[in-house]
Amino acid sequence: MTQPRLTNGHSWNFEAPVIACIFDSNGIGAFACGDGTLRVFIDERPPHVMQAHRGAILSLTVHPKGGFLTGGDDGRLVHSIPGDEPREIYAHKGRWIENVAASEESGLIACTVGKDAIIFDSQEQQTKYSHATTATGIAFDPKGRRIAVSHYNGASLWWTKSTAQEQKTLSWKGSHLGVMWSPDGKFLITTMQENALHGWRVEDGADMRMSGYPSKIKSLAWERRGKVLFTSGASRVVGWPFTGRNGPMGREPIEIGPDRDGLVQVVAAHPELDMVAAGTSDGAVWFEWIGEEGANFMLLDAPKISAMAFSPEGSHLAIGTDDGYAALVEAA
Amino acid sequence: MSQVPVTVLTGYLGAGKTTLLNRILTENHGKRYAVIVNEFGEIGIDNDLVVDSDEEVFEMNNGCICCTVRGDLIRILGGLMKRKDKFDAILIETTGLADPSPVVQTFFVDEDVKEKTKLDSVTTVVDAKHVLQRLKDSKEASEQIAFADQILLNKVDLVSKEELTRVEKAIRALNPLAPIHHTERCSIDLDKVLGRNAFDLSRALELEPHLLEAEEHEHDHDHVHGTDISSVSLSSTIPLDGDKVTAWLRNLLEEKGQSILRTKGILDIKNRNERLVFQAVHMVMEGDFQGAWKPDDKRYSRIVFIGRDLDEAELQRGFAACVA
Repeated sequence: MTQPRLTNGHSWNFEAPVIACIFDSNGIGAFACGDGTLRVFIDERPPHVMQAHRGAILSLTVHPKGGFLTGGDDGRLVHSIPGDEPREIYAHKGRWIENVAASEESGLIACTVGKDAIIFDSQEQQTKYSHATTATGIAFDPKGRRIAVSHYNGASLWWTKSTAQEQKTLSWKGSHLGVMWSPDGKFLITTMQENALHGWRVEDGADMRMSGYPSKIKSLAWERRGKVLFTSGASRVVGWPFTGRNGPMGREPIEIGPDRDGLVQVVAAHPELDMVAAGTSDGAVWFEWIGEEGANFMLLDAPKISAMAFSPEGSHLAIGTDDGYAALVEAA
Repeated sequence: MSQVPVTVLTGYLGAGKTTLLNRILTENHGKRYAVIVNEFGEIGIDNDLVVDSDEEVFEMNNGCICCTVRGDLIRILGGLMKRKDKFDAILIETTGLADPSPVVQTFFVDEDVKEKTKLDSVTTVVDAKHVLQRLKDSKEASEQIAFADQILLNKVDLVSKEELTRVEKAIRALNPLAPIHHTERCSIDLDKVLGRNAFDLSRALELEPHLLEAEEHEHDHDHVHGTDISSVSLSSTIPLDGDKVTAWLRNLLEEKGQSILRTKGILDIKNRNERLVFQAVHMVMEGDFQGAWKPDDKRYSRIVFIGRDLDEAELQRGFAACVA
């Protein structure tokens, strides 16, 4: 593969698969890579390389105290602040840390280790919540007071403040692989082993099934007002309406963007404009205004786009690929 | 992107799986192998090429009742593919008591696993000294042999020639196709074990010469005392009707796929100059036309079923009805 040449941006070759990318609220970005490095960048300056893990980084988020939080296949949970050495928060030998979560609102962080979800308070005191099967995803609700953990046959909800509590489980048969809250905290959505999403109305556990995809859904993004859930897994971006009490129940999804051969792998929603970006399995990235046809294309000649994130104001889009390239492009 | 070959290693406790894995991890072979194990305790090696997993079998919500897969493997194989340094091969150790079907089905059912990896073979390690006893007291031991694409018959130095003959006969009754390699302390050239491409239809004949052997009888049914697993082998020198035989196989596997573990076959289809080669794991079947019959080939069809409570007469009737 050749390194992408961009007229309106910059690209780097990290020589290790890009697993995830994210920006903090100050616009400092980070790419997490398959060689255990975190590549922290500001604008187009050469990224600062931090060796956070020994193996591959498997999960990435922003740490509420600044810097980045990562989990790796070396069994470690690590806090990396540019300028300091990466610091190990927790380690479990022989296990992988495949999911991390953090809440700016409550200052809590969390990760999954095997069947357990572990929450760390601001003093890094641990509380452990166990499940019958592997914890496959973890997410804080918008206020950071509750976590949702996906697993086989559903998702469990735990309050972060009280110690003694019963496990509350939202059930749906099948293997749930990841979990996300709606920005208003009213709905919980999981991605599944089947080519479908499942949703619950949290207040009463009412089920919502979102299906019809040709492949597994690996990426979800909320429209900036929280009214549409954009999803990967099809040749176009599929958006489910979440207005009203019933969410997408009984409603048709919208489809956005060009109908191409490659499937959408990653979606990102612009933070300030009605725009969605998609990265595809055949190395293309496109932007489209919601409600208007005519995508703006960028072919990266990568085998697969693996990660994407908009900067906080939406001026730039960071892109990572399976074969180790990354790019920062002007988005609007 | 090339797919990383994956070998599934089965075998009863004490058969020698751990010896083989330790060899693979420590020998200076210049290759990079990852090993997925169930119990850290058993394998004496602790490095980042060994990944521990909890066996998590689940049913797919795809209406196929016997379609179980291993959720832990989907996650781990996906994770291994994220590493910078790629692997030459991956081995999956199953516990002595595990049913290999969910492991194998994972490679046919999950799109991500299919994209990045390919099943190379199911390799079963068998202890020559104790296997006859195991076959009497454990249903898993016979299942593991029945499922194998190749067998490492280990500890052959601990048995007499006569005993070895009896053991081989018992193995052949459960699995007439898989090549048997004799080993002592699992000592074998790793290239013989790994990289077999047992699921590559275009190599089916090369790998399983027994499929080619002309049968003395038109059909054959082998059975080991003490187990309900047996094999039935059907053959015909008259060409088959392509539509009829595929419909018959599809219905048969849909109905009886739970008890039929493996099916392999090579078919002479009327009006086709190529061989139809197929193989199935329970209900999941793959087939393709592979290579033309040569003018002086003795054309024939042969199907081998390995399964539980096989009704030979019924299989024979179904097969006979497909003759064109």
